[in-house]
Amino acid sequence: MASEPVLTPTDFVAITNQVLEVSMPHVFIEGELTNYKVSKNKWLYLDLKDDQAKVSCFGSIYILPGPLEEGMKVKVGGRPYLHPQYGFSINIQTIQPSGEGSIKKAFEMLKEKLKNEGLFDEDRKRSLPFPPKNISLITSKESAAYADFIKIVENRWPYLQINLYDVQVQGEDAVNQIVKAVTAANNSPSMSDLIVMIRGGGSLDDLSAFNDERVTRSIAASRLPTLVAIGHEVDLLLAEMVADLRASTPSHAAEVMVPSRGSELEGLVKTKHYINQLINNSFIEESSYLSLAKKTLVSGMNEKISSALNLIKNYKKIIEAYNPNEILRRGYSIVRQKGGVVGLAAKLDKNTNVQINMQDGGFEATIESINLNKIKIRKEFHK
Amino acid sequence: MNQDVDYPKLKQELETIISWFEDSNHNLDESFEKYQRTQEIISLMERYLEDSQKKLQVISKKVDSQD
Repeated sequence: MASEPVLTPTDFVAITNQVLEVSMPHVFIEGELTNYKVSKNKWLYLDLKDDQAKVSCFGSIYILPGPLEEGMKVKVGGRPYLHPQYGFSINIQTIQPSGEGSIKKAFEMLKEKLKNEGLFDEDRKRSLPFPPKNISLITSKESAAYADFIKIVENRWPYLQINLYDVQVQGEDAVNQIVKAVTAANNSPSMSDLIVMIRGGGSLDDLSAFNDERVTRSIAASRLPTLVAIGHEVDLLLAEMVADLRASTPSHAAEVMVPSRGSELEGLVKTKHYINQLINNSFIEESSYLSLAKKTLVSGMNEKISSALNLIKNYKKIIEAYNPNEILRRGYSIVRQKGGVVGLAAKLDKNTNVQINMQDGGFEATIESINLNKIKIRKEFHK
Repeated sequence: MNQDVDYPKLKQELETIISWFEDSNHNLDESFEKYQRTQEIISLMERYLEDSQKKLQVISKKVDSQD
Protein backbone atom coordinates (compact mmCIF):
# COMPACT_ATOMS: atom_id res chain seq x y z
CA MET A 1 0.00 0.00 0.00
CA ALA A 2 1.39 3.29 -1.07
CA SER A 3 1.98 5.72 1.72
CA GLU A 4 -0.67 8.43 2.04
CA PRO A 5 0.48 11.89 0.96
CA VAL A 6 1.17 14.34 3.69
CA LEU A 7 -0.36 17.72 2.98
CA THR A 8 0.41 21.16 4.17
CA PRO A 9 -2.51 23.03 5.76
CA THR A 10 -2.62 25.27 2.70
CA ASP A 11 -2.82 22.31 0.37
CA PHE A 12 -5.47 20.68 2.51
CA VAL A 13 -7.62 23.81 2.46
CA ALA A 14 -7.19 24.20 -1.32
CA ILE A 15 -8.04 20.55 -2.03
CA THR A 16 -11.00 20.58 0.34
CA ASN A 17 -12.41 23.70 -1.36
CA GLN A 18 -11.92 22.06 -4.78
CA VAL A 19 -13.78 18.96 -3.61
CA LEU A 20 -16.56 21.08 -2.11
CA GLU A 21 -16.86 23.17 -5.27
CA VAL A 22 -17.38 20.05 -7.37
CA SER A 23 -19.44 17.95 -5.02
CA MET A 24 -21.48 20.62 -3.25
CA PRO A 25 -21.27 24.02 -4.99
CA HIS A 26 -24.49 25.22 -3.36
CA VAL A 27 -26.47 24.02 -0.38
CA PHE A 28 -29.61 24.90 1.57
CA ILE A 29 -29.48 24.44 5.31
CA GLU A 30 -32.46 25.01 7.54
CA GLY A 31 -31.98 25.41 11.26
CA GLU A 32 -32.35 27.60 14.32
CA LEU A 33 -30.61 30.94 14.16
CA THR A 34 -28.02 31.43 16.85
CA ASN A 35 -24.95 33.62 17.52
CA TYR A 36 -26.45 36.21 15.16
CA LYS A 37 -24.06 39.19 14.81
CA VAL A 38 -23.71 42.16 12.49
CA SER A 39 -20.18 43.56 12.23
CA LYS A 40 -19.26 47.08 11.08
CA ASN A 41 -22.83 47.42 9.78
CA LYS A 42 -21.69 45.37 6.81
CA TRP A 43 -20.92 41.75 7.69
CA LEU A 44 -23.21 39.08 8.96
CA TYR A 45 -22.19 36.18 11.21
CA LEU A 46 -24.54 33.49 12.39
CA ASP A 47 -24.77 29.81 13.28
CA LEU A 48 -27.46 27.36 12.25
CA LYS A 49 -28.08 24.60 14.72
CA ASP A 50 -30.29 21.65 15.48
CA ASP A 51 -30.26 19.15 18.33
CA GLN A 52 -26.95 17.65 17.41
CA ALA A 53 -24.97 19.99 15.13
CA LYS A 54 -24.06 23.60 14.45
CA VAL A 55 -22.90 25.22 11.16
CA SER A 56 -21.26 28.67 10.92
CA CYS A 57 -22.37 31.03 8.19
CA PHE A 58 -21.01 34.31 6.88
CA GLY A 59 -22.36 36.92 4.44
CA SER A 60 -23.16 40.56 3.60
CA ILE A 61 -26.03 42.33 5.34
CA TYR A 62 -27.36 43.37 1.92
CA ILE A 63 -28.81 39.90 1.38
CA LEU A 64 -30.99 40.17 4.51
CA PRO A 65 -34.74 39.94 3.78
CA GLY A 66 -35.48 42.01 6.90
CA PRO A 67 -34.75 41.95 10.60
CA LEU A 68 -33.97 38.53 12.10
CA GLU A 69 -33.56 37.44 15.68
CA GLU A 70 -32.08 34.61 17.68
CA GLY A 71 -34.20 31.50 17.86
CA MET A 72 -35.88 31.98 14.49
CA LYS A 73 -35.97 29.12 12.08
CA VAL A 74 -34.20 30.21 8.87
CA LYS A 75 -33.20 28.64 5.58
CA VAL A 76 -29.77 29.65 4.31
CA GLY A 77 -28.68 29.10 0.72
CA GLY A 78 -24.96 29.38 0.05
CA ARG A 79 -21.60 27.96 -0.78
CA PRO A 80 -19.67 25.74 1.65
CA TYR A 81 -16.16 27.13 2.08
CA LEU A 82 -13.13 26.33 4.18
CA HIS A 83 -11.36 29.55 5.10
CA PRO A 84 -7.56 29.23 5.45
CA GLN A 85 -7.64 30.98 8.82
CA TYR A 86 -11.19 31.02 10.18
CA GLY A 87 -12.24 27.51 9.34
CA PHE A 88 -15.39 26.09 7.77
CA SER A 89 -18.48 28.22 7.05
CA ILE A 90 -21.27 28.69 4.56
CA ASN A 91 -20.94 31.83 2.40
CA ILE A 92 -24.53 33.02 2.52
CA GLN A 93 -26.21 33.88 -0.77
CA THR A 94 -29.80 33.85 0.47
CA ILE A 95 -31.40 33.72 3.87
CA GLN A 96 -35.09 33.45 4.58
CA PRO A 97 -37.12 32.81 7.71
CA SER A 98 -38.79 29.42 7.41
CA GLY A 99 -41.61 27.76 9.21
CA GLU A 100 -44.85 29.59 9.84
CA GLY A 101 -43.85 30.96 13.23
CA SER A 102 -40.57 32.45 12.07
CA ILE A 103 -41.96 33.84 8.87
CA LYS A 104 -44.71 35.61 10.81
CA LYS A 105 -42.31 36.84 13.42
CA ALA A 106 -39.88 38.19 10.78
CA PHE A 107 -42.79 39.78 8.93
CA GLU A 108 -44.05 41.55 12.07
CA MET A 109 -40.58 42.84 12.92
CA LEU A 110 -40.00 44.23 9.45
CA LYS A 111 -43.49 45.64 9.26
CA GLU A 112 -42.97 47.49 12.54
CA LYS A 113 -39.60 48.82 11.40
CA LEU A 114 -40.92 50.12 8.05
CA LYS A 115 -44.05 51.49 9.69
CA ASN A 116 -41.90 53.49 12.11
CA GLU A 117 -40.06 54.91 9.11
CA GLY A 118 -43.41 56.09 7.72
CA LEU A 119 -43.30 53.92 4.58
CA PHE A 120 -46.93 52.90 4.93
CA ASP A 121 -48.27 56.37 5.73
CA GLU A 122 -51.39 57.36 3.82
CA ASP A 123 -49.96 60.77 2.93
CA ARG A 124 -47.23 59.04 0.89
CA LYS A 125 -49.84 57.50 -1.38
CA ARG A 126 -50.01 59.08 -4.81
CA SER A 127 -52.99 59.00 -7.11
CA LEU A 128 -52.61 56.88 -10.21
CA PRO A 129 -53.10 58.31 -13.70
CA PHE A 130 -56.43 57.09 -15.02
CA PRO A 131 -56.34 55.60 -17.54
CA PRO A 132 -52.57 55.25 -17.96
CA LYS A 133 -51.13 55.31 -21.49
CA ASN A 134 -48.36 52.85 -20.78
CA ILE A 135 -47.31 50.75 -17.83
CA SER A 136 -44.32 48.76 -16.64
CA LEU A 137 -45.63 45.35 -15.70
CA ILE A 138 -43.45 43.33 -13.32
CA THR A 139 -44.44 39.69 -13.16
CA SER A 140 -43.64 36.24 -14.53
CA LYS A 141 -44.71 35.89 -18.14
CA GLU A 142 -45.44 32.20 -17.52
CA SER A 143 -47.84 32.88 -14.65
CA ALA A 144 -51.61 32.59 -14.69
CA ALA A 145 -51.65 36.04 -13.08
CA TYR A 146 -50.06 37.52 -16.21
CA ALA A 147 -52.53 35.76 -18.52
CA ASP A 148 -55.54 36.92 -16.44
CA PHE A 149 -54.26 40.46 -16.25
CA ILE A 150 -53.57 40.76 -20.00
CA LYS A 151 -56.94 39.23 -20.89
CA ILE A 152 -58.87 41.72 -18.78
CA VAL A 153 -56.83 44.71 -19.95
CA GLU A 154 -57.38 43.76 -23.61
CA ASN A 155 -61.11 43.42 -23.05
CA ARG A 156 -61.48 46.63 -21.12
CA TRP A 157 -58.88 49.00 -22.58
CA PRO A 158 -56.91 47.67 -25.57
CA TYR A 159 -55.12 51.01 -26.03
CA LEU A 160 -52.74 50.40 -23.12
CA GLN A 161 -49.06 49.90 -23.92
CA ILE A 162 -47.44 47.33 -21.63
CA ASN A 163 -43.68 47.08 -21.06
CA LEU A 164 -43.18 43.68 -19.49
CA TYR A 165 -40.41 43.00 -16.99
CA ASP A 166 -40.40 39.20 -16.89
CA VAL A 167 -39.12 38.19 -13.46
CA GLN A 168 -39.18 35.24 -11.12
CA VAL A 169 -41.88 35.86 -8.53
CA GLN A 170 -40.63 33.21 -6.11
CA GLY A 171 -37.38 31.44 -5.40
CA GLU A 172 -33.86 32.53 -4.81
CA ASP A 173 -33.52 35.10 -7.56
CA ALA A 174 -36.97 36.62 -7.20
CA VAL A 175 -35.94 39.47 -4.88
CA ASN A 176 -32.98 40.57 -7.00
CA GLN A 177 -34.93 40.39 -10.24
CA ILE A 178 -37.90 42.31 -8.85
CA VAL A 179 -35.68 45.05 -7.38
CA LYS A 180 -33.76 45.34 -10.67
CA ALA A 181 -37.03 45.54 -12.61
CA VAL A 182 -38.35 48.37 -10.41
CA THR A 183 -35.08 50.27 -10.86
CA ALA A 184 -35.04 49.64 -14.62
CA ALA A 185 -38.66 50.79 -15.03
CA ASN A 186 -37.86 54.00 -13.17
CA ASN A 187 -34.74 54.63 -15.26
CA SER A 188 -36.22 53.63 -18.61
CA PRO A 189 -36.10 56.42 -21.24
CA SER A 190 -39.63 55.48 -22.31
CA MET A 191 -41.00 56.47 -18.93
CA SER A 192 -44.16 54.57 -18.04
CA ASP A 193 -47.09 56.19 -16.27
CA LEU A 194 -47.22 53.45 -13.68
CA ILE A 195 -45.51 50.32 -12.30
CA VAL A 196 -47.80 47.34 -11.85
CA MET A 197 -46.55 44.33 -9.88
CA ILE A 198 -48.69 41.20 -9.90
CA ARG A 199 -48.52 37.61 -8.78
CA GLY A 200 -51.01 34.85 -8.12
CA GLY A 201 -51.68 33.37 -4.69
CA GLY A 202 -49.43 30.96 -2.80
CA SER A 203 -48.11 30.02 0.61
CA LEU A 204 -46.40 32.61 2.78
CA ASP A 205 -43.13 31.02 1.82
CA ASP A 206 -43.92 31.32 -1.90
CA LEU A 207 -44.81 34.96 -1.45
CA SER A 208 -41.76 35.80 0.67
CA ALA A 209 -40.21 38.00 -2.04
CA PHE A 210 -43.12 40.41 -1.57
CA ASN A 211 -42.41 40.60 2.15
CA ASP A 212 -38.73 41.24 1.54
CA GLU A 213 -37.24 44.49 2.80
CA ARG A 214 -35.34 45.13 -0.45
CA VAL A 215 -38.45 44.72 -2.60
CA THR A 216 -40.54 46.80 -0.21
CA ARG A 217 -37.98 49.62 -0.17
CA SER A 218 -37.62 49.60 -3.96
CA ILE A 219 -41.38 50.11 -4.30
CA ALA A 220 -41.32 52.87 -1.68
CA ALA A 221 -38.48 54.60 -3.54
CA SER A 222 -40.13 54.34 -6.95
CA ARG A 223 -40.60 57.67 -8.71
CA LEU A 224 -43.36 56.09 -10.78
CA PRO A 225 -46.66 55.45 -8.98
CA THR A 226 -47.11 51.80 -8.05
CA LEU A 227 -49.98 49.33 -8.10
CA VAL A 228 -49.37 45.95 -6.44
CA ALA A 229 -51.73 42.98 -6.54
CA ILE A 230 -50.84 39.62 -5.05
CA GLY A 231 -53.67 37.10 -5.06
CA HIS A 232 -53.91 35.58 -1.62
CA GLU A 233 -56.24 35.19 1.28
CA VAL A 234 -53.86 35.98 4.14
CA ASP A 235 -52.82 39.30 5.63
CA LEU A 236 -51.50 42.06 3.42
CA LEU A 237 -47.93 41.72 2.19
CA LEU A 238 -45.42 44.50 2.74
CA ALA A 239 -45.13 45.17 -1.02
CA GLU A 240 -48.88 45.83 -1.10
CA MET A 241 -48.80 47.98 2.02
CA VAL A 242 -46.10 50.24 0.65
CA ALA A 243 -47.61 50.57 -2.86
CA ASP A 244 -49.58 53.65 -3.84
CA LEU A 245 -52.55 51.42 -4.59
CA ARG A 246 -53.29 47.81 -3.82
CA ALA A 247 -55.66 45.46 -5.61
CA SER A 248 -56.88 42.14 -4.24
CA THR A 249 -55.94 40.07 -7.32
CA PRO A 250 -54.18 40.61 -10.67
CA SER A 251 -57.61 40.67 -12.38
CA HIS A 252 -58.80 43.27 -9.90
CA ALA A 253 -55.65 45.31 -10.62
CA ALA A 254 -56.57 45.39 -14.32
CA GLU A 255 -60.09 46.50 -13.42
CA VAL A 256 -59.05 49.35 -11.16
CA MET A 257 -56.23 50.44 -13.47
CA VAL A 258 -58.20 51.00 -16.69
CA PRO A 259 -61.82 51.86 -17.40
CA SER A 260 -64.10 49.61 -19.41
CA ARG A 261 -64.29 50.74 -23.02
CA GLY A 262 -68.03 49.97 -23.09
CA SER A 263 -68.87 51.94 -19.99
CA GLU A 264 -66.67 54.82 -21.19
CA LEU A 265 -68.57 54.92 -24.48
CA GLU A 266 -71.86 54.78 -22.62
CA GLY A 267 -70.66 57.61 -20.40
CA LEU A 268 -69.63 59.66 -23.43
CA VAL A 269 -73.05 59.22 -25.05
CA LYS A 270 -74.74 60.27 -21.81
CA THR A 271 -72.42 63.27 -21.48
CA LYS A 272 -73.15 64.25 -25.09
CA HIS A 273 -76.89 64.12 -24.47
CA TYR A 274 -76.50 66.07 -21.28
CA ILE A 275 -74.45 68.78 -23.01
CA ASN A 276 -77.00 68.96 -25.86
CA GLN A 277 -79.76 69.33 -23.32
CA LEU A 278 -77.87 72.06 -21.50
CA ILE A 279 -77.25 73.95 -24.75
CA ASN A 280 -80.87 73.52 -25.79
CA ASN A 281 -82.15 74.72 -22.42
CA SER A 282 -79.83 77.64 -22.56
CA PHE A 283 -80.99 78.47 -26.09
CA ILE A 284 -84.67 78.30 -25.07
CA GLU A 285 -84.00 80.42 -22.02
CA GLU A 286 -82.06 83.03 -24.00
CA SER A 287 -84.68 83.09 -26.78
CA SER A 288 -87.52 83.71 -24.40
CA TYR A 289 -85.46 86.33 -22.60
CA LEU A 290 -84.74 88.09 -25.90
CA SER A 291 -88.35 87.87 -26.99
CA LEU A 292 -89.50 89.41 -23.72
CA ALA A 293 -86.75 92.01 -23.87
CA LYS A 294 -87.79 92.91 -27.42
CA LYS A 295 -91.45 93.28 -26.46
CA THR A 296 -90.54 95.34 -23.42
CA LEU A 297 -88.25 97.59 -25.42
CA VAL A 298 -90.68 98.11 -28.31
CA SER A 299 -93.52 98.83 -25.92
CA GLY A 300 -91.26 101.10 -23.86
CA MET A 301 -90.13 102.99 -26.94
CA ASN A 302 -93.73 103.34 -28.15
CA GLU A 303 -94.78 104.64 -24.77
CA LYS A 304 -91.91 107.09 -24.80
CA ILE A 305 -92.84 108.40 -28.24
CA SER A 306 -96.55 108.58 -27.35
CA SER A 307 -95.77 110.44 -24.20
CA ALA A 308 -93.53 112.85 -26.16
CA LEU A 309 -96.33 113.39 -28.68
CA ASN A 310 -98.80 114.07 -25.86
CA LEU A 311 -96.35 116.54 -24.40
CA ILE A 312 -96.20 118.30 -27.77
CA LYS A 313 -100.04 118.48 -27.83
CA ASN A 314 -99.93 120.17 -24.45
CA TYR A 315 -97.24 122.54 -25.66
CA LYS A 316 -99.47 123.40 -28.62
CA LYS A 317 -102.41 124.21 -26.37
CA ILE A 318 -100.24 126.36 -24.17
CA ILE A 319 -98.68 128.13 -27.16
CA GLU A 320 -102.10 128.73 -28.74
CA ALA A 321 -103.18 130.60 -25.63
CA TYR A 322 -100.34 133.01 -26.31
CA ASN A 323 -101.02 133.32 -30.08
CA PRO A 324 -101.00 137.08 -30.83
CA ASN A 325 -103.31 136.52 -33.81
CA GLU A 326 -106.08 135.55 -31.39
CA ILE A 327 -106.72 139.23 -30.58
CA LEU A 328 -107.31 139.98 -34.31
CA ARG A 329 -109.99 137.25 -34.40
CA ARG A 330 -111.81 139.12 -31.66
CA GLY A 331 -112.06 142.31 -33.89
CA TYR A 332 -108.98 144.17 -32.74
CA SER A 333 -106.35 145.53 -35.14
CA ILE A 334 -102.62 146.04 -34.78
CA VAL A 335 -101.10 149.32 -35.87
CA ARG A 336 -97.46 149.40 -36.92
CA GLN A 337 -95.46 152.47 -37.73
CA LYS A 338 -91.85 152.43 -38.91
CA GLY A 339 -91.79 148.65 -38.41
CA GLY A 340 -92.85 148.70 -34.78
CA VAL A 341 -96.21 148.10 -33.12
CA VAL A 342 -97.82 151.30 -31.84
CA GLY A 343 -100.08 150.87 -28.86
CA LEU A 344 -100.78 154.57 -28.07
CA ALA A 345 -102.22 157.31 -30.35
CA ALA A 346 -99.91 159.75 -28.69
CA LYS A 347 -96.95 157.93 -30.20
CA LEU A 348 -98.16 158.39 -33.81
CA ASP A 349 -96.72 161.00 -36.13
CA LYS A 350 -98.96 163.09 -38.36
CA ASN A 351 -98.67 162.60 -42.16
CA THR A 352 -96.83 159.34 -41.81
CA ASN A 353 -97.80 155.91 -43.02
CA VAL A 354 -99.03 153.21 -40.70
CA GLN A 355 -99.75 149.52 -41.37
CA ILE A 356 -102.94 148.10 -39.94
CA ASN A 357 -103.26 144.31 -39.43
CA MET A 358 -106.69 142.73 -39.19
CA GLN A 359 -107.90 139.13 -38.88
CA ASP A 360 -108.05 138.47 -42.61
CA GLY A 361 -105.39 140.90 -43.95
CA GLY A 362 -104.29 144.50 -43.59
CA PHE A 363 -103.97 147.90 -45.15
CA GLU A 364 -101.75 150.94 -45.16
CA ALA A 365 -102.98 154.37 -44.15
CA THR A 366 -101.65 157.87 -43.83
CA ILE A 367 -102.34 159.77 -40.63
CA GLU A 368 -103.96 163.04 -41.42
CA SER A 369 -104.65 164.12 -37.96
CA ILE A 370 -104.23 162.80 -34.48
CA ASN A 371 -106.86 163.11 -31.93
CA LEU A 372 -106.19 161.58 -28.70
CA ASN A 373 -109.78 160.62 -28.61
CA LYS A 374 -110.28 160.27 -32.38
CA ILE A 375 -107.77 159.45 -35.07
CA LYS A 376 -108.61 160.27 -38.73
CA ILE A 377 -106.99 157.95 -41.21
CA ARG A 378 -106.94 157.59 -44.97
CA LYS A 379 -107.43 154.01 -45.88
CA GLU A 380 -105.34 152.17 -48.51
CA PHE A 381 -106.44 148.54 -48.45
CA HIS A 382 -103.93 145.84 -48.99
CA LYS A 383 -104.03 142.09 -48.69
CA MET B 1 -85.02 110.35 -39.22
CA ASN B 2 -83.42 113.76 -39.30
CA GLN B 3 -80.07 113.16 -37.67
CA ASP B 4 -79.46 116.92 -37.29
CA VAL B 5 -82.41 117.41 -34.97
CA ASP B 6 -81.40 117.65 -31.34
CA TYR B 7 -84.68 116.76 -29.71
CA PRO B 8 -83.73 117.52 -26.08
CA LYS B 9 -82.34 120.88 -27.14
CA LEU B 10 -85.52 121.73 -29.08
CA LYS B 11 -87.62 120.73 -26.09
CA GLN B 12 -85.58 122.92 -23.83
CA GLU B 13 -85.92 125.87 -26.23
CA LEU B 14 -89.69 125.36 -26.40
CA GLU B 15 -90.02 125.30 -22.64
CA THR B 16 -87.92 128.46 -22.40
CA ILE B 17 -90.27 130.23 -24.85
CA ILE B 18 -93.36 129.03 -22.96
CA SER B 19 -91.83 130.37 -19.75
CA TRP B 20 -91.19 133.62 -21.60
CA PHE B 21 -94.86 133.81 -22.63
CA GLU B 22 -95.99 133.08 -19.10
CA ASP B 23 -94.33 136.29 -17.95
CA SER B 24 -96.72 139.17 -18.81
CA ASN B 25 -96.12 142.48 -20.66
CA HIS B 26 -94.23 141.40 -23.71
CA ASN B 27 -93.61 143.31 -26.81
CA LEU B 28 -96.14 142.18 -29.41
CA ASP B 29 -93.60 141.97 -32.23
CA GLU B 30 -91.38 139.78 -30.13
CA SER B 31 -94.39 137.64 -29.27
CA PHE B 32 -95.00 137.10 -32.97
CA GLU B 33 -91.43 136.05 -33.53
CA LYS B 34 -91.44 133.75 -30.54
CA TYR B 35 -94.77 132.28 -31.52
CA GLN B 36 -93.49 131.62 -35.02
CA ARG B 37 -90.42 129.89 -33.57
CA THR B 38 -92.61 127.66 -31.39
CA GLN B 39 -94.44 126.50 -34.51
CA GLU B 40 -91.14 125.58 -36.16
CA ILE B 41 -89.91 123.80 -33.06
CA ILE B 42 -93.12 121.85 -32.63
CA SER B 43 -93.06 120.86 -36.28
CA LEU B 44 -89.46 119.59 -35.99
CA MET B 45 -90.22 117.70 -32.80
CA GLU B 46 -93.33 116.07 -34.32
CA ARG B 47 -91.42 115.03 -37.42
CA TYR B 48 -88.63 113.64 -35.27
CA LEU B 49 -91.06 111.54 -33.25
CA GLU B 50 -92.92 110.29 -36.34
CA ASP B 51 -89.59 109.25 -37.86
CA SER B 52 -88.69 107.52 -34.61
CA GLN B 53 -91.92 105.53 -34.71
CA LYS B 54 -91.27 104.47 -38.30
CA LYS B 55 -87.70 103.47 -37.52
CA LEU B 56 -88.85 101.45 -34.52
CA GLN B 57 -91.34 99.56 -36.69
CA VAL B 58 -88.64 98.76 -39.27
CA ILE B 59 -86.20 97.50 -36.59
CA SER B 60 -88.90 95.45 -34.92
CA LYS B 61 -89.89 93.78 -38.22
CA LYS B 62 -86.24 93.09 -39.06
CA VAL B 63 -85.66 91.37 -35.71
CA ASP B 64 -88.85 89.34 -36.15
CA SER B 65 -87.71 88.09 -39.57
CA GLN B 66 -84.35 86.97 -38.07
CA ASP B 67 -86.03 84.82 -35.36
